[in-house]
Order: sequence, then C-alpha cells, then structure tokens
Amino acid sequence: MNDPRVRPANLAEAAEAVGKIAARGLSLRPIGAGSRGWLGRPAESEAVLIETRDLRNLEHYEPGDLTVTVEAGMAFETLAGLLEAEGQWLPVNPARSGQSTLGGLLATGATGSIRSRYGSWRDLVLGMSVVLADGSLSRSGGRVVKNVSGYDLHKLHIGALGTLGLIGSVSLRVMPLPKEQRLVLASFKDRAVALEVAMATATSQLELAAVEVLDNLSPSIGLAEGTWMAVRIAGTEADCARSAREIQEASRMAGSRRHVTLAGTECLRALRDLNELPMEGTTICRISAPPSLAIQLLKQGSLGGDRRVICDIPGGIVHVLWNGDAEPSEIIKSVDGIRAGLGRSGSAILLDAPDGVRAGIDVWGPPPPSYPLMQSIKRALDPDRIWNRGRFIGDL
Amino acid sequence: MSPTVDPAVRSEIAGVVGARYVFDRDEEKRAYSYDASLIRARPDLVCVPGSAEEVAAVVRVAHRHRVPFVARGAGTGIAGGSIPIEGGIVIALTRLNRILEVNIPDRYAVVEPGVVNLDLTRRVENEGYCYRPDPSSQKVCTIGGNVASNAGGPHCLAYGVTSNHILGMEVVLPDGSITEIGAPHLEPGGYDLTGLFTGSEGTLGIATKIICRLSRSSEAVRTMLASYDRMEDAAAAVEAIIAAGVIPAALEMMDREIIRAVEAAVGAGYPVDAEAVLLIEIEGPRDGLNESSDVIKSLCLDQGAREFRTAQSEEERQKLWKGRKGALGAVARIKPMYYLHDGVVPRTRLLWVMKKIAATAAQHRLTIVNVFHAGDGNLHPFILFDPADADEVRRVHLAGEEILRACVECGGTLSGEHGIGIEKNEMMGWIFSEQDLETMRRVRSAIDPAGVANPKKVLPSGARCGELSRSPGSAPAGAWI
Repeated sequence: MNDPRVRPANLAEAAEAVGKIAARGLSLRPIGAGSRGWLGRPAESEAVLIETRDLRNLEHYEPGDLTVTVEAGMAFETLAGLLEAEGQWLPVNPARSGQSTLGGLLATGATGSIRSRYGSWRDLVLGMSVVLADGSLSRSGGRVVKNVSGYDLHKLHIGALGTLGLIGSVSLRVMPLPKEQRLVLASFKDRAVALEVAMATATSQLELAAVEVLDNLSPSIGLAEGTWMAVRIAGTEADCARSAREIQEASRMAGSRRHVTLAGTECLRALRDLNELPMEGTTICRISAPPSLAIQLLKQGSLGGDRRVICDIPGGIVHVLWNGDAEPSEIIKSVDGIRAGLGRSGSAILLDAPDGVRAGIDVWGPPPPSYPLMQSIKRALDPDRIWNRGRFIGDL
Repeated sequence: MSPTVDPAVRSEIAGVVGARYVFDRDEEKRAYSYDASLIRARPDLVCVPGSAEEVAAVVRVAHRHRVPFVARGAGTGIAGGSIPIEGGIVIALTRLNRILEVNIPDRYAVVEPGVVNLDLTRRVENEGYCYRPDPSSQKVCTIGGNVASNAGGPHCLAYGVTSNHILGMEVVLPDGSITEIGAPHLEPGGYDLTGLFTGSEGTLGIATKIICRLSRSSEAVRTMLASYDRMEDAAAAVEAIIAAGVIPAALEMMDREIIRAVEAAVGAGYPVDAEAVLLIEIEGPRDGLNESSDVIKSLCLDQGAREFRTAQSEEERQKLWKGRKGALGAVARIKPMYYLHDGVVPRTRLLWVMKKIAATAAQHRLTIVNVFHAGDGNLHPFILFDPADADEVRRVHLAGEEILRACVECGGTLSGEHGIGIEKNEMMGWIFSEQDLETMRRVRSAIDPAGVANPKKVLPSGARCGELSRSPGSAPAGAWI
C-alpha cells in the first residue's frame, strides 16, 4: 500500500507529502532528474522517492538585478537558456549536468573547472526554501546580492546530498556572459613541465576562467594522447587576445611542440567536450588538496606515471579515471595510496565506481574533524534520520 | 553600582589568563560597553586571553557557571553585536593578533582573530597578493570581527563578501571544546560549517584561527568620478552600468551633504556643488580596461553626468578613495550623532528607494545623508541627530524603521554587511516567518544548548518588535541608545 514515489506539483504539496511520509516512519530520498545517482553509497531500497520534476517554476527573474529565483526541479539547461536570452549565465560547469536539475546539482555540490574564477555554489546561492523532515517549509537568505540577515542555513544544504531536507527553491546570483572566450591548448612531453607552466599561468595576473592539465586522455576534441595544458580565457576581446598570446609564448618557451588557440564556435564545442572529460571513466576519484600538494602528487606520488588525470590547477582539484578493465583491487589500492599521501591535508572521494570497487572501500573516506558538529546539526534538522539514509559521509 | 560576576568565576578566569588580563573596575568595564552602534551595556567582567587554549578555558568556565560570554575584536561593529547586553564576560581577542602562516603557492593565510584586516593585505602585497574584503574600517577592524559579521566593503561588488574568502577556522564551541571546520583546500567534505559560522555574529562560538583565501592583485586599476546635478540621474547611471553587463570592482555613491562634509574634512577633490557623485573603480588585466571604462563613461554621460574624470595618478586615486573611506568620520561635521542603516534593495529599485529616503527625511524633518555601495544595492543612510533633542531621537527611530520597511517591501533585506546584532533582531520577523526563525533557533541550540554564546543577538528575543530601539526609556537595564 505504500506508494514508493511521490511527485508533488508545488512546494506546499511537497511539504505536506514529506510531513505525511515522515509521520509514517518512512525514510525519504529526494530525486530530480536522477542523473547523479552514482554519488554516495547505495540508497536504501525501502526509501520513498520524492520527485522534484514538477517543481520547475521560474519564481523571479529581473535581469537588471543579476539575480534569479527558481524552483529546484528546473533543469540546469532550461535555466541556462532563460539566462542566455538576456545575455547572462550561471557560471558553473559541472560535467554530465545538462539534464540535471538545479536541486540535484546543489545537493551533490557539483562543480567544474571554472570555480576558481567564478566561485562554487556556496558563492552563488543567495537564499533557499527547504522542506524539512517535519514537513515544514523553511527559508534562509534572500534574493539580494548582499545579505547578512540571519544564519546562512542554505549553505548547509549545498553538497549535503539531501540529508538535511529537500531543496525546494533557490535564489542565485548570475553574471553577464563573457564578451569573448578562447581556449588555448598546449602539449608537453613531460608532465612535470606542463604542471609548472600551468601553475605559472594560473598565478599570473591574467584573469583566466580555467587552467587545467590533462594526461593520458584522448578527448574527442582531437588531441593526441599525452600531456596537455588547457587554458580557458573569458573577457574582453583585448584581454583574450593578449592572454592567448602570452600563454602560447610561455608554452613555446617551455618546450611545447604543439599549441593552438581556439575561438568562436570551435572554442565553444571544445569547451563542451573538455567539460565532460572528468566523468569519462567507470571509476572516478576526485581529489581536493592545496594546489602545490596536488601537483606534487601528480609529479611523483601515487598519481605519477601513466594515470589518466585531469587537474584543475588553481583549484587543486584532480580527477583520476579508470576504465572498466581495471581490477577493483588495484583501484582500491590506488585510492588508499592517494588518501595516505594526502593525510589530513586533502580529501579523495569516489564519485562513481562499479560495485566491485564500492564493496571494498568507503567512497567518502574518513569524516572531517568537525564530524561531531555535523552530527549535532543533522540531529537538529532531521532527528529521525528520514532523509537519504545511509548515503552520505559517516551516518549523516 | 554595576553588577559583578561571581567571585569564583573571576578567580577561575584569572587563573586561566593571569590576573593582569582580567578587568572589572567600573571604568574598565565602561571601555568595553560600546561599539560603533548607539547601544551600550556593561559586562560584568572583561578578560584578554593570550591563546586559543586560554579562550577555550575561559569559555569552559563560562559554560560551567552558565555565564554568558561575548567575543570582541576592535569594537567597530555597527549593530551592537559585541555589546554584552546580558552582562557576563567580554572576551577581548586583541592579544590574538598574529599572522600564523602565509602560503603564497596555495594562496591562503592562517591568522588569529585579532589581526587587523589591512595588516593581512600589507603582509602579502609585496608578493602581488591581497585579502579582498575591504570594509571601510579596514585600518582598525579585525578579521575575527569581519568573520563574525560577514563584513563587506566597497569591492564586494566584484569580489564578494567575507564568507567568499574564508576557507576554514579553528573554533572554540560554546562548551569550550575546540574544533576545526573547513580546510585550506576546496572540498573539506561534509556540511559547509565554515559557511554557517561566517556571519553568525559570535552566537555559535569563537574563531581562534581563520584560514583566509588570498587573491592575486590586479594588474591595473582605474578609478573614475562622475558627478550629477540630480540624485536620480546618478542612481539611473548605476542601474544602467549593471544592466549593461559591466561589473566594476567598486561602484559607490555619495550625496550632496556627504560630498561637502568630506571636502571640508579631507579635501578629496569632489565637486561641492554636485547633488551626487559616483566613485567607480575597475580592475584587471590592463588591456581590457579601456573598453570597460569607455562603456562606463558613455553610460554615465547618457544619464546626465555633468563631469566625468579619471584619476591620472595613484596619488589622485588614493585621494578619491580617502574621501569615500573617511565619509563616516566626516559626518560628525554636520551633526553630533548619526544612526547608520545598512538596508539592501534589488539593484533595479535603487532609484525608487532613494526617493523614498528623501521623502522620509522630509516627512520627519530630519537630515539623512547617503554614502553607499550603490552597485550592490546596499544602502547606508546616515540619519543625523542631536542626542539632546528627545523628539528628534524619536523621529530618527521612526525614519530608520520606515527606510528598512521600504527595503523589505521591494524585495530587499535588513542588513547587507553590518549584521543584525541587537539592533535589528526584533525586525527579523519582517523578512522571515516564525518557521524560518524556529529553524535558525534549532541550529543555534544544537551548537549552544546552554545559550551562553552572545545571547539575545541575531534572532528575536521575544521583545516586541522595535521595542529596544524605539526610545532610551524602554531599553533593558544597562543599555542606552
């Protein structure tokens, strides 16, 4: 008699449904497009799914304010289209995100290569309405770009995998679209040299959208296997031209044999392909570390040699990819090695992995030092642990 | 006779920090009874710990005896956040003023909470880096206080507020335990506690170490001044610049009264017969600046600017900024006291709200002057008054409430960067439902079940809306406006 799915038509219905289901002692799992179900531990099968697909209203958009408020079930692509029509964008570029809903991207904390320039969700979210475990609808923040009124509770829900509530609607800061974009690609024989050039580029006074190093990947954009630096430039025509020139020159001086600058539609197509690369493996490990530590690991540590890697240089974010033919025990050994190399100075999570790998390792790794405090917050907002039980870090 | 703390508490605290760092004589307590707001209340005891461990030990004493405590930095807060409205212990963090680590390759610094904001930028500027948040009080305010109030500043427009620049902290929780939240990298894992603690105004604990993100300094900077004969035209220019997709690093507006006061005080070179000036700054790689400044110039002129000029030297640029940053001090030339508000409106409602403020001033026969972060829609109306004139004081409070009501009515909020503190907590019901506030209370009590960390701040305490700020007679014992 239990309906395993509910699909509320609006926020009030969502709140009512949550209250009723929670009162029956059942657990709940929020789901948007279902496009990021690979993140975290497997879901409990008896959880009731609460679908946000029908919560897709545009609540408020005034382009002159550079802010937008939407319901969380709206697809990222849909919002991008609305903004583009006004010459604006939401500056985040997570892979596999086209169909994803905003709520799903927020809950999974999905980000991409441009976060060091534009910030991540925590820097873009201005406010949120959330359905809590008791069926109440609770709001924090607002829809203006500066606001210190009350606690920023919305930040708790970003990357929380729906364990504190269902994100119902969100207010976001948006930006004018960059006037011009370029992509500079440069190949290097030696990974260490590529990393050095990339680090120097990232710490220059050029304002770049992304600086990445890719190794042992052959993306569809036509790069041969080997080590590549990819630099995304966004700004005025004059900025783009000068940045591209200087980066090509620095690459050439460092011994790069092939370097190319893409512009226009060719650039946009390449950027789209590049965006998807971090997810092109059957097992994907995402490392976060201070950039110099990430680079050190890529040079000589457990990530050296022939590993397939993508490193966001200024962000210190590294994606390590394995194919389906890799032995689970080898992958587990590698991830354990990466975690040992990072110690308490970084984190390494498995974004996606086949069951054989998941069975042998905690995808989240050890909880952070403030875990007891996180447990207190979980108890305060979800005392009966109805939300997404078992999937997030520790027992959150 | 002011209240005193239990002798046992006093001696335990003296045992922790040393007797020379405990103050409880009347004149000493008075020195810790104020900030830059109009609210005053004396603590029962002041202590000045010398390390994070001492802060934790003091908090443990307070927690065990259920005595409230309030952390204090430079005391430059504008919402009474560090005023010990319930008495108890003021924990002054002035001795925790060391920059513990500067890591240029990884672009962060670890500082103690008592480090002065500008000192961090000074420490790293020779290496081409800076700490972005730049509140106007940055020469004296501390980073601990900035974190507590999620402070802003003129350059927030391009770079965001304090919370966008804090990676993590070491925190003494209200029970006196120490924990680390966040980390000097982007994905520390779990819930974003750094985001929750930043801006919590000392109600969730005391930061004893702060990991600040350092930013690469811009290659070039250009500062421009546009002057107007009508305030409306200046406001329209701001809306036009933002709508055109040009985001300056800073976009500040000053009105006639401020311009004159600033000129008299520091001689910044503003035209004293203008009704309004815009101070506009753009930063970035030098190649793009011409294009951006051309767009800004033509938009300013389109909206009727009678003069548009660009600072031709670093000296001239500093002079223009000296006027803006010295505005607060210059206001005293007009009237003995001011009540400064911090409301925010959506940027497209700037013109509307400026008219509303002018009408409010006229209706209540008050002088209201404006110097504010126009590009963010963050207003700073200064309502001027003479504290000896009781009726004027009454009208000041009425006008302040009306202005904030107008901000809320058009989709804005109560405070953009100063905080809620004890000044606006009873107004929180204007923007949040009882359910919203109850959720915030739940999170607060999860972290401070004993209710000892800066009590009666941020969330409504149950007093009738606006009661505290309405008149001196109705303020709680120990407080005056």
